[in-house]
Amino acid sequence: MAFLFKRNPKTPSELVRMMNEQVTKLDTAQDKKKVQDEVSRYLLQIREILLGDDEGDIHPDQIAQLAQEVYSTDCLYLLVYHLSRLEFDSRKHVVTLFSILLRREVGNRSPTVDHLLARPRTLTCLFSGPETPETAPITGSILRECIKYDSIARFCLKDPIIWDYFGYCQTGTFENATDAFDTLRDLLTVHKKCADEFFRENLERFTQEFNSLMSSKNYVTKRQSIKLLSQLLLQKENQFFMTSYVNSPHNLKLVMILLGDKSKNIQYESFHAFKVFVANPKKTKPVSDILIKNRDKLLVFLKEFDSGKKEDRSYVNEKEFVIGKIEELPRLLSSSTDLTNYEDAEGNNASINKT
Amino acid sequence: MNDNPFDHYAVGFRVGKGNFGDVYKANSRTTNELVAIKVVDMEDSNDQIDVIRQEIQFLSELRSDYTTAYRETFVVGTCLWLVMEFCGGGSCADLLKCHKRLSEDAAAFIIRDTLRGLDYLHSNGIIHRDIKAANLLLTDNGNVKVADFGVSGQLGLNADSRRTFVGTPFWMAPEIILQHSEDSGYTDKVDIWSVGITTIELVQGKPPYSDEDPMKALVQIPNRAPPVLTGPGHGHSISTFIKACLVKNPKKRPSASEMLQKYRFVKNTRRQSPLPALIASKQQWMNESRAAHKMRRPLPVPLGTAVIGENVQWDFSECDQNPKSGISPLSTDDTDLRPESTNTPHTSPLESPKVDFYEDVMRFALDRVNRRAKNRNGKDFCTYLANKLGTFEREQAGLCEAIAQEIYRRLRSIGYQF
Repeated sequence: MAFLFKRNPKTPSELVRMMNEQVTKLDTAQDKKKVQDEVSRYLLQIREILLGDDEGDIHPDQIAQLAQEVYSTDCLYLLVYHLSRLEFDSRKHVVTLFSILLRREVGNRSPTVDHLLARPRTLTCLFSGPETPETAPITGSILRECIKYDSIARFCLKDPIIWDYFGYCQTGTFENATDAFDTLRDLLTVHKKCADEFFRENLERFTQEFNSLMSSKNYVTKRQSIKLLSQLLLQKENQFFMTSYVNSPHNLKLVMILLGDKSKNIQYESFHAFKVFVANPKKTKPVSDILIKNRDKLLVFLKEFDSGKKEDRSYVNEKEFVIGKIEELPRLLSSSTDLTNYEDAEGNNASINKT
Repeated sequence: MNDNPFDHYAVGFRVGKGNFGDVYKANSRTTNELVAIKVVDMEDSNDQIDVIRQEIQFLSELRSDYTTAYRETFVVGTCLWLVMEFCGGGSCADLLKCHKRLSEDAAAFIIRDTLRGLDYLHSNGIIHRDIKAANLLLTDNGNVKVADFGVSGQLGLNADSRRTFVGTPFWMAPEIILQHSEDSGYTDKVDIWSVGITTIELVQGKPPYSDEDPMKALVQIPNRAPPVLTGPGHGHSISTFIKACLVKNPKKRPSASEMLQKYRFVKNTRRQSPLPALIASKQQWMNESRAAHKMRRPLPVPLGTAVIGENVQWDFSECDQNPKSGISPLSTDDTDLRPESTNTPHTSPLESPKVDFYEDVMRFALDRVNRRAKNRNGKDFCTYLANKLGTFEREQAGLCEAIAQEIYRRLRSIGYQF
């Protein structure tokens, strides 16, 4: 019904052009609020074209026109670059613009994906989103829409910015840190082939950076990263990563420390990584040594290990399997049980002294 | 995320129990502004962290004068601290506790701003699901803020569905109860129904049928005719408004913005808000009543269940073959929880290594308490306590130091001044 009011009817391409013009003024304008309001108004009209007006009418030809103008200008880049200068609620409209345009298909191409890859500075700007904490969750959610497409995920995995994400995951506010973690997880799990290529090229650095997340003192970082680790180890495309990861005694130690964590949730998530070490038929000697050395402790621990997930059949079976595997390990001939008790008492004292 | 929240906020008393966790009043050390901190233990919640974080992202994307403002979130131990704007005027349910029932004028103000808040939430695709007087908060100036949406609602539902469910059936729209499986669920119109019930609650002091058993009343809601405003002396505009809210067919129920535009009850509110006066007299009433004092009992701020206890100690002796890895796998203690900023240990007497915490601190303090004791019993207890502590300290060296530190931290965190 909007046409009845004839409120300043603009063609979609005009809209985009006029918005671009205003957005570029955001930096320099005297009256920032006025420019902001203008941009908000255009974004709202664009949103109406994309999602339909009050009556919910959507005109595909209008969307096509809009998209055409977006592709032939720097519209997406300008919006992302100036995101923090946009009005609070209009930022969400930018997310809508991206997600609807990304889903457009012409033939078997995704023109928006092609556009973004042909002018990669928009992607780079999005990928560096956590550098602007104020808008990080917005750039994060746009980016995760983009990396649903494997070509964009591959682009990001090749960009060294990815290493900054291990830092972003551990700093800043809860929402920004977990947002960065989400992006990292999506990059490593959604397109399994791309992830495998990434692991093959960056194994050492990745393992080191990832382990630093798991050794974090922050409960959330620890819990999320150990969960992601087990997911990565169990993903069958990640054979290469899995094999090299479970061969390292250092990695085993880290996983065992988390297995013995005070938090039941962290224990449970760690179990799913630990079982891969135990199930490995070709354990390296240092890995076996650690398991053998801790054989009795592990058995006591695992038998009492109650994650509260008794109803989870596969988990119960896996636990039995792991216990069986550890029982098969050779027993060290020493007074290891006495030693255990002695150490426990020591441990208690130490921790009170430390507090 | 590793920021120490004790550096940012002086945490005070518990001011309420939310659906999913307790709420503490706190003071920002930087801006001196009062805030409310909701504490959710992630170790207790069945939710995956992803769910919690999606909810918080929702919350952080909302900004309206009519909803409680979200500030930031910290991770403390296994707990999440959600820092929200503090509403010093309490909730509209508190208002009812004191004033029993509100005038139509006062109700109109509250409901108008509630609708404005809901209009904002609905335009952002959020359904509140739990509108009632207890979830409408008031600032000291008498502004109304819709609270407990997003995180609180969702978390509450997942953490312990019974608690939230039983708590609020009187306000529930019929379609929530009827929810057919083939239906794709309910819409934001459920909140409009609850607004209607809340309006009745405000002017009558309680929602309809609230003297019945909640579960029975719940089952009855879809079968009964919609409640109407009974009792003498109610104006035409409020009755019309309530009738429009309480239409059983959600499609025929107006939206929040339609309500604001079309209904005189919320369109023609008086210019002067009657709320500040009501809040002021309520505050006074609360201060006098014993119940208020009971709520102010200080409680320890929980760090979360999983910070208590010990990590399992594995035997990694002689198998450290990868010392170059840079990250020591054994550095997982929780010393970062200490409220003292780590770069000032030398200014704190507690950090000095020469102190004998039994003799110079605990024993010393107990001797002083002994002298303050007014009667024989009190003095005997102090002596007994001091001796016992001595025994325990010999058994567990470091005990007194730990106790002293914890007392110090606690006093600091609640901002206690002598």
